[in-house]
Amino acid sequence: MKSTTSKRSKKAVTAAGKSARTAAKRLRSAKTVASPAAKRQAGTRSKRIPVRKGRALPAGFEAIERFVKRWALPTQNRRQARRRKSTTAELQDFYDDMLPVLPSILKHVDTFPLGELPQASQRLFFLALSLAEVAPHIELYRGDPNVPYAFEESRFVAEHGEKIG
Amino acid sequence: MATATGELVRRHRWTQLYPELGQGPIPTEPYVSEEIYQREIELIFKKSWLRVARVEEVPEPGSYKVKRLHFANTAIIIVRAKDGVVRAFHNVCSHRGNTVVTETGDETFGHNKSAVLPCRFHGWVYGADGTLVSVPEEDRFYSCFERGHNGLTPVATDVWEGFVFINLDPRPLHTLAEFLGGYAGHFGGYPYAALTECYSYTTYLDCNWKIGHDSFSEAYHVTTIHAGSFPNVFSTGLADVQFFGPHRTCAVCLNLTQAPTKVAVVAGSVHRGSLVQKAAERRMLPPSINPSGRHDFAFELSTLFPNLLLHVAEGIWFTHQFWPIARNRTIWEGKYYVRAAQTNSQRWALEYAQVLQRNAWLEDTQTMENTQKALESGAKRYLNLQDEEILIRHNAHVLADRLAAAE
Ligand code: FES
Ligand SMILES: [Fe+2]
Repeated sequence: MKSTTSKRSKKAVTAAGKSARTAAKRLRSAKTVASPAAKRQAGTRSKRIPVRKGRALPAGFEAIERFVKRWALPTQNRRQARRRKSTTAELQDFYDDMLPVLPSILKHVDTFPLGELPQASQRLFFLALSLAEVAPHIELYRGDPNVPYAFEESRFVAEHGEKIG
Repeated sequence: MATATGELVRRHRWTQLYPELGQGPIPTEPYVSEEIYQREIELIFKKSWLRVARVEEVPEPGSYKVKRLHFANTAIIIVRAKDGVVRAFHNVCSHRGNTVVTETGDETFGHNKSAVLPCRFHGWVYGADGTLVSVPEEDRFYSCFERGHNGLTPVATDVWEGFVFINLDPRPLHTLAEFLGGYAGHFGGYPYAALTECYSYTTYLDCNWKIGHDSFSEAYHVTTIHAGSFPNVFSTGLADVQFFGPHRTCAVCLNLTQAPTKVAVVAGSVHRGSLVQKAAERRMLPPSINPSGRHDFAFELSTLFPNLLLHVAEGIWFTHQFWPIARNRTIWEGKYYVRAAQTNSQRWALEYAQVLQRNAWLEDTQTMENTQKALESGAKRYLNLQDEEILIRHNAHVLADRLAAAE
């Protein structure tokens, strides 16, 4: 599968363990302490543009930046394929760190009009969409990366499968 | 004794309400017989009104959709003309029979600004009303050739509540309104067009079209088949079963026995997109739906004969449609309509609701090919239906009656 994310950055993930509360607190002050990346993107109205470069997320979400390369995927088909190719441990790891920040993510993306997210926020939104894809497998299917006792997933063709967002 | 009788009445309430359907098993033969399949195609599919589009799919003059109907070896162009009317034609050129619109799959969409349909082969041009408007080198054809007699072959078309229907019978026995009968009153007035976000899935299934129809026509399977995706959902039975000629409807009632999952709670707080999420209040259901206001009402499940399952709920409507290709091969189309997101968080909530619904449909379709394979063995001559499978019983009766009447 071709990847639209950047080459793996070797930089250490600085804030991987930050708590959700810290993340939420930082989000509230995000407007004043926006990262350089966020500032650069301010004012660029990137409508439905897939993530091409970089792994930066808006300030306050450093803790989940480690998931960008793997899970900030622009289409449902790609999120579904990634979920199916993941191990239970990978799904659980993603779910565990995403769940606490989900409300902050939704609050953040709603500071922009529908479909008009700057790049870093768009990446963050793609992560949340991946959580929507992954959540049933942790919450309902006991970690099974596939839908248990189901029709072969790849045979279902989704009209929106390649739609970005 | 009175209570025991009461219990029996309750348990067998539907066949007691509709005694003409009987209580016996139904034959397996219609699911496997080539001869019955051919008769269903000739006597039912080629003579019934069939939903082939929504008006929103052909929004402007010159917008068209071409839908291949394998069972009839044809494809239908559904096109809106400058007069705003949606018409349908066979996708066959009057010159040497090429397809006028080049199809790229079972469904092909396009738009022509001048609202004409040109054939690529030699450039004959048809108006969106089907008339042949231009023929290159027309003077080289002979005096017996008349442009006015060589329009596209029309197909009977009509629209109800934004659903575009066609009838392949050159002279349909009934108008669409006659065909729908009381069904139109029951399902009219729901704001179909207001719920514009459509999630659409399709697949090919190695099974008879009725196996698909049957699997989606009961709630008996919810606790077993959907133990994965809807573990907290318990079917409390059907309500308000009604038949309108060949059409049928009922309410599916569900109790949510456990709290929703953490992510479902977040999604549910942002937008209504899931069938297993309690609707806050009645806003859009017409009074004919859930007339007693049951609190466990989840959605209305109906079959618009022969092949469209239409469901309505508060804030959600969805369809399953089964298109026969062969005795044991069927196209399934599942379409799920919700109110479009206004915000990014609503967009996210819809993604979650719809992913879970897709997974439930994956659970539903899982049994279909297995059932066909098993029935092909010939080991069973009959299927046993319980009272809550009354819609399947009704379908079997309607089909048998229609085929018998044609004898
Ligand atoms: S076949 Fe269509 S123009 Fe010749
Ligand atoms: Fe089901």
